[in-house]
This record gives sequence, C-alpha cells and structure tokens, in this order.
Amino acid sequence: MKRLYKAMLIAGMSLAFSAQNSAAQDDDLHIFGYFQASFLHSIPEDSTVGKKSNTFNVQQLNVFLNKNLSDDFSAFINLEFTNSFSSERNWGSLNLEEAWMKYSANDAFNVKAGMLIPEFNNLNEIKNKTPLLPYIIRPLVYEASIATLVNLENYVPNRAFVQVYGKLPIADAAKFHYAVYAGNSDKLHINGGTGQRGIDTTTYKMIGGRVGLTYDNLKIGVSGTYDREKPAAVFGIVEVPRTRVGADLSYSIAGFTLEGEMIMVRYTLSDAEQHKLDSVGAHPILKYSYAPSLDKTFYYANLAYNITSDLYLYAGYGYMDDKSSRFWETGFKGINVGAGYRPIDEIVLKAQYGRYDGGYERAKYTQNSFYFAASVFF
Amino acid sequence: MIKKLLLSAIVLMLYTASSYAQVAVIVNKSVSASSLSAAKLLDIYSLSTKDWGGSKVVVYDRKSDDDTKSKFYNYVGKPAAEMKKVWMRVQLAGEGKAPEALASDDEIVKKVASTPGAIGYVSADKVTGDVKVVATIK
Repeated sequence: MKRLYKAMLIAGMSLAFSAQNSAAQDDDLHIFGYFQASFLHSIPEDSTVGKKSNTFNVQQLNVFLNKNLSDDFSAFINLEFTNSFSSERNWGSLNLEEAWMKYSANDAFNVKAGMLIPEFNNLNEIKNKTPLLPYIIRPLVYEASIATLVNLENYVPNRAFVQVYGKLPIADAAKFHYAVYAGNSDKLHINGGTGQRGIDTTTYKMIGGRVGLTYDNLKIGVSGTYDREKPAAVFGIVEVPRTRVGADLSYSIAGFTLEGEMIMVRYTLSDAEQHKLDSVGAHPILKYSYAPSLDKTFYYANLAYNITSDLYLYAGYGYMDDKSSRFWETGFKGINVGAGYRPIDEIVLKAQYGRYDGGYERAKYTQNSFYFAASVFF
Repeated sequence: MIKKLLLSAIVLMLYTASSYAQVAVIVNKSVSASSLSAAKLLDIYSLSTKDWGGSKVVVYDRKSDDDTKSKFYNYVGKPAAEMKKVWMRVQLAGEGKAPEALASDDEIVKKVASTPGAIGYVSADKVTGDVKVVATIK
C-alpha cells in the first residue's frame, strides 16, 4: 500500500511539474549562447607589418536572452565578450551587441526597435554567430580581427535602431524578402575622447535596406545604405554623403553550397572636396600614406561541400580595397581553405589555413595562418 | 521447424508493415488549410512561415530519430540534421525557437488537437478525429 502511495505521489508530482513546464515554456526567459575557442599559428612572409603569432584565445563568447512578451511581442538581448575578455587584465571587450523589441504582425510585417544589426547582404546579421559559419576567420570585412587595421564600419552597417522587415510569398517555393531600417551614421559617433560617453549627438542618420528573393535553395539580394561619413582628418573634409551598395547570392545543390557577396562604397564629393583629396594625394610626404579617393570595394566567394551532414570542406577567396589609403589602395586579398566536423549538433570543430596578402612597397603584409577552433552552442 | 518459419514470417510481416507505415501531417482543426505541399511544409518547419494568415503556427517535432521522422524530413527535402542547423540559425537571430519535441505519436496528436494553429506529424494509424490531416506521406 505504501509502495502504491509512493508511486502515485511520484507520478502526481511528475505530472504537475511537466504540465507546469509545458504550459509556461513558450513565455519563459530563454538563455542560450555560444563561444568559439581558437588556436592561431601565424607566420609572416615578406611582411613589414605582419607578426608571428602562436596563441590560444577565446575569440568570442555571446550570451543571448530571449523572451516572448506576448503572441506578437518579443525581446532579445545579445551580450558579446571578445578576445578572452578580462577586465582585470584589460583584455578583450564586453559589448552590448543587440537589445531590441520585436513586434510581429505576420510573416510580411515585423518591426524591430532598439539596437540591432541590420540586414545587409547575406552575412551581416550573422557575422558574429560563429556556430553558423563554416570558417574561423570570416570574409575580410566581417572579420573583427581586421578591425585593428581598417574601419570595417565603412563597408557594412553595424547598427540600426529600427527595422521593418518581412517576406511575401510569390509562388509555392519562392518568397520576396524586404527590410528597411534607420540608424546613426557610424563614423559620427561621439567617442570617449570628447568627454561624452553613450550619447550620440550626430545630426545625420543612416537609412538602408535589402530586397531579396529565395527560391528553393537559391537566395539572392541587393542591399544599400545612405548616410554621411567623416573621412580622415588629414583630408580636411567635414562630412560627405556615402552610399554603400551590396549584392549577395547563395545556392546549394548536391551537397555543395556556393555563397558570395560584393560591396561598393561610393562618396559624393564636391569639386572643392575632390581638390582637397587631390592635394593630399600629391603632397610630398602625405602621398605615401594617403590616396586621392575615398571609394571602397569588397567581394568574396566561398564554396563548401558537405561530405556528410557532419563533415564539410570549403575554399574561399576575398578581396577588399580602400582607395583613400596607400596600404589598402591596391587591395588586400585572402585565400582560405578549411574543414569542419560536428561530433554532436552543438559543437563544430574547425580547421582553416589562410593566406593574406596586402600593402605596398613601404608596408607589406603577407602572412600564412593556421587556425583551429571549437565553436560551441549552449 | 514450422513454428520457427511461422515466427519468422510474422516478424517479417511486422517489419514490413512498420517500414511502409504512412506518415500523416496533422494540424489543429482551427487551421483553415485542407492540404499542404512539401514546399509549404519545409517553409513551416524551417520556421520561415510563422502564421496561417491570421493565427500563429505552433510547430511540434518528435524526439526519437525513427522511421516516421526520417520519412517526414525526406519528404520535405531537408534531413533532420540539416533542419537542426536551420533552427539554430533562427534561434541565434532572435527570430524564434526550435520546435518543442514530443516523445510519442499520442502526445503529438493530443498537443496538436488542443493547441490552436498547431502542426505535427505522426504515424498515420495514430490519427484521431480530433485533428485534421493535411498531407499523407507514403
């Protein structure tokens, strides 16, 4: 009798717990994230600015909080720790990457408001989500470690504050996607050196968007933003209108996935502003560092092959230039080959070889790098 | 000897029957759609389509990697392992959560019957009158 009573009590408790759990599940605060731990072995070759590296690193750790506030509203927060973050040792950084509220009326109309990473080409929104990416070192303008050499915000928008987006069915397997957003002009952010922190007093705003099409395993799109940028102080130009135009494509067939993107950054200069650029480009000393144009270009292509659902190989090529700098003027190129293996769904083990080549006779950068990483989703 | 043969025949019949069991895609009766194509099911299970045109889609998956599951994902054109990657992408983008996975056909039928906008897939012989069948996979 005692046994029966015990069994009934346990069964009753289990039922009560599971009922409560399932009823509350969808509205619970959902905490999840990922990190990527990596090892880098880098060898400079004919390089004046590259350096030898042999190091372990927790490249990135992101923690997400997601909660459904109602059927139509949800909130999302993304905290990012980079480069083995330690405030004690003054390593790495902790950033609030995203904090937004979403209103979702239906598939065709959604609004995000707060701080968000806007849709621009295929990779921008997911560039920091390492478990989703086959590579360790991302295509050039999406790779945070290159940010120490060049301002990547010149190529892609990193922040927006409101985005309206959705998709509309065209046929059974085809959909039209759209996104329009607005944010601050990134280079006009106030920084700590001015005595103001956390407040962006810029007058100028960035507007942008993407339209795209998905059909079966094909995804294509074009993106664009318009804002104003403040070029390097040496040019003596306050702010100039900037247009970023991008195009992206990805297609999967028979285990192969091809993805590619291109971005063109163009500036609208008055004759007087162009004259200032020309003067700097012809200056006896400055001409060795600066070139008389602000335009920028980026493109990459990557081909991956899934040997099994858990094992893949890939090869890719990337190019970027910045016509305002002698170092970047003739282009910075990267060739990558690599492989990945998923022992379980939540872990990807990655290996990558990259050869990067850039610079000019005064500052050359040619480097061979070997990367190993584990990307863990939790 | 005859007993052994008979037993083998029964085991073979049972195996064959289970191998060829049909899979039924079921929805809550509040869903107006009467049939769904493989492409539409892929859209729904990829969490790309999230509303029925008025009410939210609630997707249920099954825990076990059994024949029913592999038949369903083969039919929609994306293996279950690939679908998990799609759900991870959706989750990391803050666009949704992976579908709740339930343990048995009976549980899926009950959940779909009691949840407005719900969809699931079960072995066809487990379907009851409480749900609506929108696709049958042979």
